[in-house]
Amino acid sequence: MNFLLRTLSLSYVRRHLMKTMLTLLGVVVGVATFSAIRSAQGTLVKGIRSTVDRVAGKAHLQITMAGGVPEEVQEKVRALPGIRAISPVIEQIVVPERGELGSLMVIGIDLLGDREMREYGFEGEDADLDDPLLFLAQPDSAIFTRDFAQRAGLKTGDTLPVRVPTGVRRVAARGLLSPKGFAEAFGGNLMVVDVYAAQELFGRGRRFDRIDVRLAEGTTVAQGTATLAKALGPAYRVETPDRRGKQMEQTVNNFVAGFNITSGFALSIGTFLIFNAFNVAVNRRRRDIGTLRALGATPRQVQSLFLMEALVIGLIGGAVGCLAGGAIAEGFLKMMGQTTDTIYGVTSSGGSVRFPPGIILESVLLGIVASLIGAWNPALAASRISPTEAFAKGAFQAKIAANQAPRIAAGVVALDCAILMALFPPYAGNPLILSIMALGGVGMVLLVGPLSRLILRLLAPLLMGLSPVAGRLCSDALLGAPRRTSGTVMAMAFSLTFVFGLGGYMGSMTATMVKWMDDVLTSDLYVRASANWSRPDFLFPGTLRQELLKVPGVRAVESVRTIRPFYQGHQIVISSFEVGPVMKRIKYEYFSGNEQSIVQGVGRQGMCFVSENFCGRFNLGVGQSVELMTPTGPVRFPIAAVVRDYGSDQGAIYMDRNTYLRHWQDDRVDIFDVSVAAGADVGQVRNLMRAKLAGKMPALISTRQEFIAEIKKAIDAFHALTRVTVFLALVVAFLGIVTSLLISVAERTREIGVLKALGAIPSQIVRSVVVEALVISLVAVIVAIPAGNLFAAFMEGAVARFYTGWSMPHEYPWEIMAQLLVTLPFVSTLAACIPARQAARLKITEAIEYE
Amino acid sequence: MNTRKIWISSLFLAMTVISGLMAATVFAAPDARALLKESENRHRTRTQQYAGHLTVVNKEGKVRKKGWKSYRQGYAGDAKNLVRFTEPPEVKGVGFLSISRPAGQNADQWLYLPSMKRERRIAAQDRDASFVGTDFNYEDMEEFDHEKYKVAMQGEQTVDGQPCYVITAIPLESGGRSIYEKKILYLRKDILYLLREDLFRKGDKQPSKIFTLSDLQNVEGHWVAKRWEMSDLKKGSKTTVILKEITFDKPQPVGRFTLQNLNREGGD
Repeated sequence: MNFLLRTLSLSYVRRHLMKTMLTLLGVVVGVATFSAIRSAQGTLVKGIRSTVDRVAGKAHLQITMAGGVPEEVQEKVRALPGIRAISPVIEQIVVPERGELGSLMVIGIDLLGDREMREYGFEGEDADLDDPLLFLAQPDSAIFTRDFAQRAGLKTGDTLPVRVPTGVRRVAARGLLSPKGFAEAFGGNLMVVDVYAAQELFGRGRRFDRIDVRLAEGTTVAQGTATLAKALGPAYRVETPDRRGKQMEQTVNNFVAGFNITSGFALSIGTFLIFNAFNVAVNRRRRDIGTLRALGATPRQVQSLFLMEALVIGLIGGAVGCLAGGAIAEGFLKMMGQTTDTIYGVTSSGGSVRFPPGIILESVLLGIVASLIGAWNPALAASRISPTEAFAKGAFQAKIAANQAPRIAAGVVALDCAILMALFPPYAGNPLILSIMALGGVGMVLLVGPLSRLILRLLAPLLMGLSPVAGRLCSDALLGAPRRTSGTVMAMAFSLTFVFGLGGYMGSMTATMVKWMDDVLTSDLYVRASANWSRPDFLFPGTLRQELLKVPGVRAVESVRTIRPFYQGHQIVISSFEVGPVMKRIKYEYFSGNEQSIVQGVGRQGMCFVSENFCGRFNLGVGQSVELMTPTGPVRFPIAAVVRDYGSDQGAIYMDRNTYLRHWQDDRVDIFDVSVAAGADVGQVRNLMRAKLAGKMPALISTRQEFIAEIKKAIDAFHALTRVTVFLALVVAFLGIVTSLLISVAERTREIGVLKALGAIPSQIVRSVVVEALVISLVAVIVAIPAGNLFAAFMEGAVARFYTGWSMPHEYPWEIMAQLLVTLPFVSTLAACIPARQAARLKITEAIEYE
Repeated sequence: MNTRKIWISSLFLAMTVISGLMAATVFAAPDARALLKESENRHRTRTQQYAGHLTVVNKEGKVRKKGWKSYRQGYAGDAKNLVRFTEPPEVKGVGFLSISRPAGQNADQWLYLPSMKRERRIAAQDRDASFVGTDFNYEDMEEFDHEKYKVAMQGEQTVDGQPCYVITAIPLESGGRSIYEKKILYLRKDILYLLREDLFRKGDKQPSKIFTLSDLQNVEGHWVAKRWEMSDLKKGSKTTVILKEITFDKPQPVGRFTLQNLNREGGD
């Protein structure tokens, strides 16, 4: 086998180096996308877990509550049996003014008693920190890790300007932590402050983010959990740090799951490239195969030879793909990190992307498997070639194509099944999505070939009419090599389906949300303290509303408070505001109930209204009640209406502010919705408010347009990585066209020579190759338009319903379509450049001798 | 009959010997509890106030100084203490309030930080934390109350040339949470004044800290040690407090030992 590989395979590679390289590149891009996504995800998750574990220290349990844990809970917990120590914690991410130092995780802890929970390594001069009083007495006190201090050039006593919600604050380094244990959390970018100073700094009021609990010896975690749960009630969550870390990990994994599908797409397109390349290689080496078979090689040996070649390509492609993945993974990590931070409020320490051996192995294996799958069928075909058949000139070309009817019928059945399953799901969840995708994929694979041939036949007269020479040459080339053509069209059509589908889904989601925001966000100004949508950096005191009402030009102010508790295992949103005035200015789309039922029931009778996805997910609607765990105990809220709402992908409950205040006893505010008086200048009112709040509280004041634009920006950030992976899938498809055209030119060498001998000029040959590229793209677009539309409808329907419960009206991605129709001709022409030049440069004598 | 007589005589003799031995023991070594009670009775004052000058010298010889004013009302088990720092400037105004509670419960302690304008409670788990960077911890800042200990006379020993009773005090389970396993008290025989405490942390065979009281003077009719020294044998550091401007039984304003006063800016 080694001999055959060295002589036959290697000489073929040498002769077709460019094609081999392009095929290899297909695997490289696919594997690079996969490995970059996997490693970025791994690093992100590891960073989150490591931070959670290290910050948790010796804590066995952690107590949290939506909206924060009130201070008085400390004493209640301390008095319980089996509790050795407790420590309140506030966590917040801030950015130093010197952005190059990276984000800092601020951990507010009670240094007086925290040593029971975490180990601090202070050395030398920092022994001063054995005196917590010096640290506590100065509100600007902070402890940094030695590693961070070195990078920032900080010594004990130096100050560092950091951006906090109230503006830029200089914090003094009162001590440095040795790089071990706790100090290694968040990649060492850690700033420890006093928990009560953190309350002030981040507007937590008299609440903590959580309370860490260390149990006494002899008390099991189960006993401790039971004791705490019984004493605190259901409004509080008592869980191990490990479970909390796992939940964060799950959030990230759910978010990243989509990208794994995307990288799978890129790799499957790469598989088509391999299939194409090997198909052609088998045809071109029929004589070699015949010779081998005549010399006694068994069909299995022939098949093994091709599979070995595929193995080598997969191995090299996998290894190079891993290296390339490493280069792009940092960018992926940054994008993922920003999205999980902004959308989900989950922050990782970031740091450099790590490539664990597991991912390297997985990526290389994936490259090999994709390569083997792509080469399997051509290798099998090669093994079935008989010596006589191989040596008979023209016998292969003369072979009549097999009957396509069963293939078309199977394809139609598979596609129909996929559509029917999407419309009338027999079961739910991931199995449904995977079944539909598998059936749809199989249907497409089976139908694209015959469909592309049909389209080509229909296009042929048109092409010949437009350009008698180039058009005929191109039609002949494409129709004469059906396998190669359908392979390239398939790769291209898959990529474009992917682009149309995901693009349509993203466009539909954005358009739906923009429409919803137009209906719901109707105030003139929005005053908020935090740029983060799900993890408030700062909360306003409720009393600020009265202050804002005094600002000249302000007509009305409503206070919005949003918390994110868990309900039946899902992190939902509970939002409260002054229902009466708000309902006068916003319009909802009602699934049941109406405006009057909200004003009456929610505004005056303590009821609630819910989002459509909450209603669907938990099977609760008007006439039923939702039981929520409040700090005062479980309370049942009757549902007054169900509305279309995109406030949370897990479901949202809305109630009047008075109802919320009564049950949650939390008067803090996330956002103030401000309406200005008729004739008042919005910009001027904003300036007056800024002046009023300056130096007292952080305030991001946006006009309605700015606020909507900021939310759109967050949605765009959410889709950023999807766009990158879609782009990579297109790159693989582009490589497919180049490879296909190179093969086409190589296969037609003799034909081109004859044409030249008969008087064809180089520009006609070039035109025919360029037209071939354009036609491949056109056929792929024609196939991808309906397929992409189906995929988009599937994403907006079954997938969106499963993951979010949202229903989104389908919007065809006309914008993407227009972009592709403009871009594709350029890209196709570009792809045709090298093959066309190669064809034009062919010498007649050499070309005619070519076999 | 003879046998019976002999048996009764022997029993009588044995009882006489045992009673004699018991009496001898009682007279030779006084009861530790009684001595501590007597000590408390002798030195109890209604109030006490002083200005403390505190010096901490760490293992490397680095010296840190602090100054405070201390006010006390009551004694031992019913003591209330307020400490207000006067220097250095960065800790000026910081206050510490400790209110003893009945046996079975730890003292309530709060620390007031002017920068935060609020007090924070010192939890039982924090009793081991260093009190403002000294070698005292929060438990050491509580008044010694023998009622919370099981005490036993261990013998006699001379300290600084003064004969002392040596008493072992083991925290009672019901006496609240203690960071110590055992304390050995050295009580000066003539005036029953505490001259030294050897403090054993849990699991330690040797004392981890030694608290000595010296420079005894009689002020306004009350014995008082004007120099306190806490040595941390493990850390190798030492904290000295020099007491000045000592006054006893001066009436304290109503509300001095309250959270409101602790939280008052500059409130003594």
